[in-house]
Amino acid sequence: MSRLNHPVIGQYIPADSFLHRLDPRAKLVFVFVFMMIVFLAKNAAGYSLLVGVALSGVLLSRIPLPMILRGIKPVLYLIILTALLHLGMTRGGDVWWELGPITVYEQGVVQATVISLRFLILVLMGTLLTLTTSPMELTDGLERLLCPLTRVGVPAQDLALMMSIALRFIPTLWEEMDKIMMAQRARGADFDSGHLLRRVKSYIPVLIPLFISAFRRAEELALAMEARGYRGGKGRTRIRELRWKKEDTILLVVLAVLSISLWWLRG
Amino acid sequence: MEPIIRLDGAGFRYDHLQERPEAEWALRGVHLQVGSGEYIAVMGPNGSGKSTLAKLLNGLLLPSEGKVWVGGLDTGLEKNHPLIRQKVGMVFQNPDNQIVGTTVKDDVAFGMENLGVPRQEMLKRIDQVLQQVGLRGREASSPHHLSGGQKQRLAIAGVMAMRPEVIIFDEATSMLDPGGRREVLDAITELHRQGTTVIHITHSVKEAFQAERVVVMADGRIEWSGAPHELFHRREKLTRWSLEVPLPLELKERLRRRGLPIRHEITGTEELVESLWKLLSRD
Repeated sequence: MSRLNHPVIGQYIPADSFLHRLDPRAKLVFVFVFMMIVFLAKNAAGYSLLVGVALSGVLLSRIPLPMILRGIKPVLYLIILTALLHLGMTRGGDVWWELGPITVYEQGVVQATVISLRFLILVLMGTLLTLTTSPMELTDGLERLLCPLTRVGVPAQDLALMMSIALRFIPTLWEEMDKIMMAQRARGADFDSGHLLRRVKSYIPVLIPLFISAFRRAEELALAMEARGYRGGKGRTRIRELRWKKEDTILLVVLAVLSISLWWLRG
Repeated sequence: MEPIIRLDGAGFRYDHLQERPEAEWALRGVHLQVGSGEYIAVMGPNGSGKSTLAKLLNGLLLPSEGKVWVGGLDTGLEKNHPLIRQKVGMVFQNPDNQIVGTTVKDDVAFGMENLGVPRQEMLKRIDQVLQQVGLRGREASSPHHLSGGQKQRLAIAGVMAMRPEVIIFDEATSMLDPGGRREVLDAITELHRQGTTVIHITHSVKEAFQAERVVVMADGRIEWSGAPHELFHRREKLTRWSLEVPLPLELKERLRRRGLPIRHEITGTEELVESLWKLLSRD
């Protein structure tokens, strides 16, 4: 009986590259702003610039290309589907191709290319972020960035703690699921045969005990946290610290230059 | 000297039972004083109120009657809770369900972060307590890579880093294998030697014998309290409290029943071995 492999949390690949060393705050801000300025590009020059930035990101991450492509793969079908829809639905310009009821116009080809390119760049940047930043770093980064919003009632510290506890318990619950599955197998449960619906249904006797135990764990953990003096985010100090370096400032300067250039290039 | 913990007729019943006046009390009329630096074992069958007692001692539960004092602070007042939680640390039964951090270092820091300890001081204390529990060098390990005994030692380290005066072990050894149990018991002995007040809740009479004083609970009351060696004369009582009878005690009783001249007052394994030797050499 094969035991389940432990899941890799997120898709972080440890390495020592320029992108890995950057402060998660800088990376988060960059990706967030980048996702908006992508829409500023309106012509070939603009798109070349975006592709250039994305490719330099790939180079600077020092992560093998196949691994990056694996991160993009799940979204690839969506991109192809969107491209096909645009190809078939957009009217305008010369007719390039006619096939039964489907007519492909020049504008359709342009739209399809532009949309898929935009999509691809967005996904690529997101993938690079998660490949080069560990989930804990991401959590820390988000917490620090959301910190100013604490004043308007966003519980940044509590949210970050929730995320880190979730990360802490993924392996524990995974192990537990493994145990429950074996226990159910010992009683004759079958998880590997039958059609899809049956297989999904066969997981119910695994999920129910798993949920019950997760709730019990949560209750005990809450008690343990209270016993260790947890009273919410107020007045807490932090052991984890983030260091803003020269490179991080450079990244933000690059981001500013990029935004201005794109604005200027759209003419 | 003012005891570090004092219970004055403390009782507790769970909220949802309060509507029914005849509802059972989990704890009733408990008077207990724990001196600074003492090592106490609390025993009793399931449902005897041991864990409820433990949770009253650091304000996780508030007494429904009577008072609980920790270092002169009333646990009934919420404003005292932060200080009480710092003074009284607690290690729970399930090693997995009390670790908060994603790494050993983060977890030790958790309690200190709650207290608002400055970062430099935290780093210093982390190094120190991990050294003490023998987990130094594992700072970056993820908790699920630790053994049961290591996880409990990590929990102890997290509590120690808060510099408490009292540490309560709520059946902290019951889910461990013999090796892990040994590790935790050694850590407890060491803590006591260094002057920490220890309250160890356990089902094991053997573990209770490490303590200076044993408190036996039954039906929410303190049934008996005294030095561990006095338990040796109370075999029938151990059975009545549904506690295991330690092997040397059982042996002594059976040999006496066979008519061997072994003194009733024997208080421990060594004395028993000695009197057996004397018997053998006489023949």
